[in-house]
Amino acid sequence: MQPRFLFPHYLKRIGWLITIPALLIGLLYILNGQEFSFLEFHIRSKSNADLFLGEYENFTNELLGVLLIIGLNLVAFSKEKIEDEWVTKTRLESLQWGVYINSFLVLLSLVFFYGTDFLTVMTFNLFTVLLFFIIRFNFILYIKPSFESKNKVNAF
Amino acid sequence: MRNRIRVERAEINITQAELAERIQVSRQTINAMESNKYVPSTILALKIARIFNKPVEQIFFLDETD
Repeated sequence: MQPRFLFPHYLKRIGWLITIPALLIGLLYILNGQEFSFLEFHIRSKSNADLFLGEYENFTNELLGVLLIIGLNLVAFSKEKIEDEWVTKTRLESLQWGVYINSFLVLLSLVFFYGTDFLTVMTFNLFTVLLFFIIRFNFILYIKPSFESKNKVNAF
Repeated sequence: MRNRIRVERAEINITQAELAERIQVSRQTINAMESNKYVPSTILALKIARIFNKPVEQIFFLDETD
């Protein structure tokens, strides 16, 4: 049975190559307000510049968002080296897991964050479903088996 | 559902990895089936039975909860 709607396996590596730098730069952006000056564009004229919007817009956060969405999707939905039915089942299960955890966190942030803080939390939320999914999926596939084989020798 | 994959595998002396390769699945899939965490599709069950040269019913059994 061929799984549908998945990218070829080699794109998973490219996904990581996009995701990891984007996550690191994203961390700098959040902690230090790191922005790239070459991404500064003049997009509004002075006359109709809004009270809260400057003439210039820095596209660092936009670029990070685009890279993260593309990177995370490639990591999440590329075929594994051996893509069999158990892997497919684990993938779907992990996706459900990711949505559950994410919904729970949205629930908490709905109650505990207000105003612009809530907006910030919801920005993280654009990526967390995929992030939780990727962590759970890769844990089951690659990390859990190494624990099990240490505990008992079942491969003869 | 329960199965005798581990026993059958020992009888013809092949590892999880070898069985996995012969039926083109991952080793974790074999492990999940042997520890009764995963019920294979009919296709996979038939493939496994063919490797051990036995009918499917001699390798896979229903249990009380099924």
